Amino acid sequence: MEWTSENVNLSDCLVCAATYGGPIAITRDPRKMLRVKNSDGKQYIYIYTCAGKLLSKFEWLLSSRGSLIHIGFSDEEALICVSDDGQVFLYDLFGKTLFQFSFVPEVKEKEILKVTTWGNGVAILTKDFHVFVVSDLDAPYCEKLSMVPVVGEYDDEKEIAMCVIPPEQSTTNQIEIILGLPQCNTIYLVNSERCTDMKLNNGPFAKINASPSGDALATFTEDGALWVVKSDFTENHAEFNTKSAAPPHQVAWCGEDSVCLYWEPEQINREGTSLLLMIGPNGDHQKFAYEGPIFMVTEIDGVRIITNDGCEFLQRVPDPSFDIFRIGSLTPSAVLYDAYTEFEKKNASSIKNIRSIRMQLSGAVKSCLEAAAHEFDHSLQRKLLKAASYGKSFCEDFDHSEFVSTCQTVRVMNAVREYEIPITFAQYQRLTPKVLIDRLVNRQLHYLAYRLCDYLRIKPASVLVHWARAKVCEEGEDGHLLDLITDKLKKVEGVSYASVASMAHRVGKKSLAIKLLEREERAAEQVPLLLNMGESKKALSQAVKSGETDLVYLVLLNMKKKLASDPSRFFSIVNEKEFAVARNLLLTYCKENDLNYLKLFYNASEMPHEAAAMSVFESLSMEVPLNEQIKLLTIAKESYNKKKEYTVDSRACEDQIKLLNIQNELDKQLGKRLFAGLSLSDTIYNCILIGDKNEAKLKSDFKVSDKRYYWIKVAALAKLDAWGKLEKFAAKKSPIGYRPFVEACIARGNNVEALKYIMRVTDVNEKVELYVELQRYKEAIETAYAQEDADLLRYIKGKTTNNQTKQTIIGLLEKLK
Amino acid sequence: MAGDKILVLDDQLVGPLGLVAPSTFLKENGVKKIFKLTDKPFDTDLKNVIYIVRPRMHLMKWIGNQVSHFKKAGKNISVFLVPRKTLICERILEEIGIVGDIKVGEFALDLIPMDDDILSMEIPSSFKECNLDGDLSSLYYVARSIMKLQSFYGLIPHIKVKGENARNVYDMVLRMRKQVGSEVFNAAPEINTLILIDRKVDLITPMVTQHTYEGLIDELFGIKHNIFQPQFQCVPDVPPSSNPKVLLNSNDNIYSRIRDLNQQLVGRSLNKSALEIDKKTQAKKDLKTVQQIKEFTEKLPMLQEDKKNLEIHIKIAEHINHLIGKSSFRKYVQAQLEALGGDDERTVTSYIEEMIDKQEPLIKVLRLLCLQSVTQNGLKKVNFENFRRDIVQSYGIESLLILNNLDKCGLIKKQGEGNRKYSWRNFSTGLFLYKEDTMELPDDKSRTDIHAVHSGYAPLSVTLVERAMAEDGKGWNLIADLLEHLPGDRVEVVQKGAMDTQPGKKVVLVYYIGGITFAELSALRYLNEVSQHCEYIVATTKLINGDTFLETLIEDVDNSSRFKKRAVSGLSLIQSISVQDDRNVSSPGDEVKSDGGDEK
Repeated sequence: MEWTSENVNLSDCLVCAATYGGPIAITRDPRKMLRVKNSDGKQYIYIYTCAGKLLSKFEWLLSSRGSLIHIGFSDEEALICVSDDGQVFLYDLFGKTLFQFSFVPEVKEKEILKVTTWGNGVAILTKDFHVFVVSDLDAPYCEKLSMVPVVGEYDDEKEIAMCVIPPEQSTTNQIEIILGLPQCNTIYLVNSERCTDMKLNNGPFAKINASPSGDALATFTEDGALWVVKSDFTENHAEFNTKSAAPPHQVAWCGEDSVCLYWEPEQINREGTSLLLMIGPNGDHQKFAYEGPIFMVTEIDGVRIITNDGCEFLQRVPDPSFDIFRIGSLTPSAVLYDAYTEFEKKNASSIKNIRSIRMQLSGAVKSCLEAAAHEFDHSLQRKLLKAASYGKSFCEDFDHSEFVSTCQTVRVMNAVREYEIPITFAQYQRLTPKVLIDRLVNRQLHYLAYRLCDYLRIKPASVLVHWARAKVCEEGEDGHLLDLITDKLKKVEGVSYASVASMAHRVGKKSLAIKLLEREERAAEQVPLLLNMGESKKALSQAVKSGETDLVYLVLLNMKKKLASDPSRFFSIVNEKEFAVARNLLLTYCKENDLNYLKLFYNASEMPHEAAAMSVFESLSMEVPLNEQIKLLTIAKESYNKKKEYTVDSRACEDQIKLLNIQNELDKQLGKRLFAGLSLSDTIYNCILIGDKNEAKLKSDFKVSDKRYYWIKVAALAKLDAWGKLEKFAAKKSPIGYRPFVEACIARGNNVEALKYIMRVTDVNEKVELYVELQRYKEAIETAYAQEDADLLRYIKGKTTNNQTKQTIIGLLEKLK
Repeated sequence: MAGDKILVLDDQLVGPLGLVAPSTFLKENGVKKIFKLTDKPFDTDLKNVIYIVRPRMHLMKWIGNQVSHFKKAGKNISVFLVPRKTLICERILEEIGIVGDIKVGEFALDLIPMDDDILSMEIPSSFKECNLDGDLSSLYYVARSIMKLQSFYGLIPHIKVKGENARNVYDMVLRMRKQVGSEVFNAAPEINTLILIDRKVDLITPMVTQHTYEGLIDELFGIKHNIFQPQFQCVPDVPPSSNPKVLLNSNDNIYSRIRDLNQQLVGRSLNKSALEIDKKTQAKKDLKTVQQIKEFTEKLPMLQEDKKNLEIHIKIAEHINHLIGKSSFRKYVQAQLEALGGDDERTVTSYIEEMIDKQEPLIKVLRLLCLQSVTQNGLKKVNFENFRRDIVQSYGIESLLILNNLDKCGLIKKQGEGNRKYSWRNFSTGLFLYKEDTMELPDDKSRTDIHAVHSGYAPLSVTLVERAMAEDGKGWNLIADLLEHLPGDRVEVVQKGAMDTQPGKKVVLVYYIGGITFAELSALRYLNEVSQHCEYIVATTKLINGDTFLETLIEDVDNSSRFKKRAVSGLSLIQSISVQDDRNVSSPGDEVKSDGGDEK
């Protein structure tokens, strides 16, 4: 271990390590006495690679954060640090705070007894046996689970056995906490709905650990036995008596089927030697002795053992390797491997061996490939691959892509192992190359990650973005950094420049951030950042360009709030020509939600006519009382007057005020609401209907044209069936002719009256049409014939159904020819 | 959401939802009742309430009113926004203070197939939102729908764009493509060309009365989501009072033959169909072998269906002929043609004055005014002001606001505003838009002459499409000068990275942003019939006519106005040119009777 020179002693420390060969974090355990007197009293957190190379060292600020009581790694390899007052901090591998959150204050009041973390969450047990969990670090929401019905006072977290089955692993799809307490013979299973007593009697259980898949639990019982049980306690898997009364210091799973128990030197009274006991599925066991303390990390296919001066990996030998390398093995893969060795020695028996396994050859090749993938040693890898290659040349239809992909995988793993990430084949398959690349990037191993992307044909966009985010934090001239970054990023599509820009902004390089943002394609990414940077106007411009209404609104509402005290500045921006779309949107929003603001805007923007229109709009509502309506219309009138081209509209408002007053009077006389709100024409019409004398006054007051007045009056009189009055009215020459008179009568079904006026219709076509409509074919024909109009005659012929009439017309048409 | 529930739907969504989820499907999923969303709360004893609405601000407030009422009764409430959640609506729900009480989700409903060759987004207010409110969300949805089509049918190699909003969509499509990466569009391209047309480029066509059979049904009675509800006797043995529904689509053999025809030709076509059906029925007598009888009985249901449809369409056609024969209708159409011909604007002006004096329905007046304003490049100042005054006097002060809206969209404006050189006459002669003798052509010619859809006037937009795909391959370059004078950018590009389509007939997707009329659709079908090298399919934000188009533009005034009925439907003083029966005005908590789906 590279850390040997730093005098790291695992037994004094809080230690945690990320799975899949990930980094190790170490910090002094604040609950243990300081041995080294020359320390500065500050608490530091150290993060090392798996090989003990220091990645970062940073201070835990005791004064502001309380005492550090637990550390753990998340699935994303962020370091989770939990303080004694229920605060949780997440750091990246270089000590930069990613984010923080707090458990509910209740946790602090009740005092924390024990903390457990897992890949995506934190669980806290308080001293009164309540469990609180946050089961999604991305959206930390603190959930309180059911209470554990026990009493007692415990201070030492070491006495408590607690493990977590995360929701994705539990059978109920919700989080399960498994608790074993001193002096309790049983185990409690806690979830959000209930706390279940498992009714056991072989406790108390000093240790409980869940297997990597969450399917089984390894527990250490009171009488010194390791008891492995299915995690819902329905099935016993194994029991093994360790003959040790003292519970082990640490229990860890080695893959899915073996468990490792570890006792510290002090526990077993052996000077400086600690003991690791590995227990397999069938009660096989193996003892290992270590000098000094160790720390075990459960992996999906084994266990990583970290000591003060080294890192080891303990696993059951994978089957393909076992088959080949077992002494005296006669499996086809072993035979193939042998045959290849013979071949290398140029020995003819090689072919004979191959022939002996001809039927199983392709299986043997596959086993060799797998064994190669499991192997760490380069020369063995090479030899196994060559054996496979040799074997497959004897196969008739072997799928070569399998060979190629294995070689690829071996190369990738070897490359990664160079950087002190001892990933195994099984882990690599579970983790997937994509996640592996993310992890490399988090380690700032951008170049390696980029090369892997290239090699595995994975889109390198996220790698490049991460690289660029790190790059902008470096010292350097903006232009130079920009060139460096764009030079790399422009080669790939779908790169988030906004993400890089936001980092640049965070480290105070605003102009660089803006330049980077200009290259961002997605407005949705650009706009919020620009707003954050206080570049409202740029944000508005980008939002408008994007055509996404939502973004424009986002900026507008933000600006409206920010510039609440200085609306004129806001207005002047919005009124710029390029923001026409934004202006309209603001208007639309205000029309629905803030009419007063809208008027303010119109007046400030020298659009009094629009403000006026708004007042008119308001006055239209039924609920507004008359005096209020008049007030609004007066304001409108005055606003319209400010611009010459709106005199017509101003007059319309003036007229409307006058009209409203008259209507009000009329309604008062009538004793009900009839007139209010009618148009001028309708008012006159209704006046005539009820026989009110005001109609003439209205006509002259509002300068209603004669034509319109005639239309109204004819309609109203016909409606009243006041035929006498209509005739009197018709006596004076009508400015609209007499057709409307005829039509009004027809509309009322009074054909007799209609005939009175038809003579006075001047247009012959209309006359004929009207006759036809009245079914007066004789008159129609006469009129048409008098004009010698053949078309009209034909028209009549088309309308009539009477054969005789038709004949008459045919006769007349003949005459006209 | 499991269990029994009620649905509360936005008025705009009742129809589209009926097209994608028939009522039987809803019933199977526990929907007990469907309500139209209004601003008034109502009561129900079911515990689950689901709102499905467009993300429009005033609707959020209405939901707010209802939810605070429901919350007291402890109901489970979800709100689904179609086609997506928007920030502003979430903000408004937050302001109302009901965000914690409801679940907000989204329902990505976009292009709905209306028939074999037409897809619609069913967003009636798209034009208004883009041009009046500045809200371009509908364009975003359009762009997204194009991306979806491209992911199914491959990158479209050729793109032609005309108009500001079409340009916006085009830009969005390019941007989206960059964002998703190129590997999504691996499919071999099946669509050769995408033509994006902004409604704003051609505001004339919707204002002109349609003369196709389908267009006239829509103009006179209204077609909602392929369904026509006649208010007169036309379905055999069903009185109009029992609200019969006629489903209009190409499954109806009779209808598919006449829908695109000019009304003058409909009668003849119906006669022909009648003869054929008769002949087929007569064939019954000559049946000799068992085989023949079997064949006949197989065809019989189809024959009976045709017979029934024939009866319906004869009735409808007769009714239409009766209505369009009226002198008021003819005069109105005449005025439109004069506005299009544009020799003497005084005739049109005085006709409009008379309409206003008579209080003809405002929407018809506005339609003609728009037509005059657009063709004359604005109204003369004196006319503009006189019309303004007269309309306010006849229809009430709120029409002032309506006119403002139309002014802002460039539909009715004063001359001299906007200095674009524009001469309608150049267009109509340059593009042969007007042909007086269309209807005198021999039968088979007029049947596929695009001038026939309006009895002489060829839709500008369709002419542009035809020119874009001209066989010489030069596209719009030949008429570049003319296009300059139409509003908005013009783009003709070959999409980078797209493969060309297989040789043979080119599939052309024409996307009308802001709506397409039935007549335009018919004209495009004519092109399909005669074209040797192109096959057109159509997508749009909504199927419209002049009335429904203008209604969306005046809706905001109308919604808050107490004179609702009077202003829009106008109590025309003597005789209305609008023969459309008064629309049903929904009352609060109105239960939606049944949706269109069950006819299918």
